[in-house]
Order: sequence, then structure tokens, then C-alpha cells
Amino acid sequence: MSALSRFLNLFRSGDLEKEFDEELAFHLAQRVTANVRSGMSEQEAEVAALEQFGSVAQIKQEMWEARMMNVRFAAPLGVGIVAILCWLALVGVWRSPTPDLPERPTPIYAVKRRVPPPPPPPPPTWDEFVAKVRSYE
Amino acid sequence: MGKTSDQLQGTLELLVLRTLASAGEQLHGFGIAERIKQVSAEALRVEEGSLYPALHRMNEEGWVLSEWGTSDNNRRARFYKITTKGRRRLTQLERDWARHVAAVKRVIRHA
Repeated sequence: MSALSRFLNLFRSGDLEKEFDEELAFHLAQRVTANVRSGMSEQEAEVAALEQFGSVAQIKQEMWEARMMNVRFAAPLGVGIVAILCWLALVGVWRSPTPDLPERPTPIYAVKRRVPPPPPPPPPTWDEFVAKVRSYE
Repeated sequence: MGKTSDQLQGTLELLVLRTLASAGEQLHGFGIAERIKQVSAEALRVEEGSLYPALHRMNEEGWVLSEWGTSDNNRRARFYKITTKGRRRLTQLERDWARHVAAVKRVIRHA
């Protein structure tokens, strides 16, 4: 069974449970039929089939464990896939394709020229200062 | 899991894989258990509760393939067949078994 199938099994537990039930029910039905053929009554045949089979819950548990025995390989695969997807999303590799546009000259706003900051205003003269300050009035 | 338990599990795998290889057709679990009983002249009886976990384990290992089909009495059943990987495993198990039997024989003869 491929690693991918094992990983997908994690998400179809309901289906697996149903399959286990169906498989075990088939076996028990076959055993009951065989027991009846060997001379048992229907009721005796059912009781004998169940006794011979053992605990259905226990068997199903063991079937689950058998199915999940390789999940230790599948789980890291899943984690790895998620990690790679996250990484792709972060670096922006996995983005929607841009349409093919005709080649255009580089727009002006794409070129930034370094403009020196304007010089500070000259300090006011004494007369200007006195004219602004009204607290002496 | 202890050595004895490993050997018992190995024996069940050997019986199931040999039965599927010799049958030449796919078999359901009940069919496998019945065939082992018949071929061994009722000397061997597969514990039915152990059979299905073993089949699913072998399915996981890739030694058998399973698919749903219809049985002789028209019921839905899961059928198993041996894979190439399963045949290689069978060869190995048969070799181990022959070695084990030879060792026991030597002890019986000379101990």
C-alpha cells in the first residue's frame, strides 16, 4: 500500500469501520451456514460461530492497529506536505499567474531620485522676532 | 512482541501466503481458513479472530492485495490475492520454516 493511501486512510475512518463490519459479518454468516450444514440448529450455529470467532470488538481493534501500523510513515509525509505548502505560500512561488502584458517603458514612479531635503529657514532678525512676540506689549 | 509470538505470527503468514499462492485465485478470509483446514486434513485450524488482523497487516506490508467482490452465494466479500512481494516473502518464510524444522529434527535425533 502506498504512503499516500496510508495517509488518506486517516481521513476515511468511517469507511474503514464499515468495511471491517461487513467483512466480519460475511465471515460469521459463512460460518453459521457451515455449522447448520454440519447438523446444528440455526441458534446453535450462531452461538458456535460467535464462540469460535471471539470478541468482535477486539478483532476490529486489532484490524485498526494493523491498518495504522504504517501511519508512522504516513504522518510525517502529511506534515512534510503541509510544511512545503506553507513554505511555497510564504516565498510567493505559488501565486496566481500574471497575464502576459505588452512590454512597456518603466513608469516614472518606479525610479526614485534622491532629492536633498530643503535647507532650514534662516533665523529671524531681531525686528522680526520682536514683531512676532507680543508678550512685551 | 516475544520470539514465540513472532514465530506464531510468522506461521500464520506462511500458511495464508502459501494457501493464496497455491489457490491460483483470490480467496476471502473464510475461504482461506477453510482451505487450510481441508489441506491439513483438519490438523490445523486457523484461529479466525487472528486471521483478519493478519490479513490486514499483510495488506499493509504489500504482500497481499484485497478487493471487494461477490462470493459464490452472491454476497459482497473482500477477496485477497498474493502479490510479487508476497511471493518473495513466502519464499523467505518457507526457507526459515525448513531451517526451524531441520533444527528441531536434529535435537530429536541427537539430544
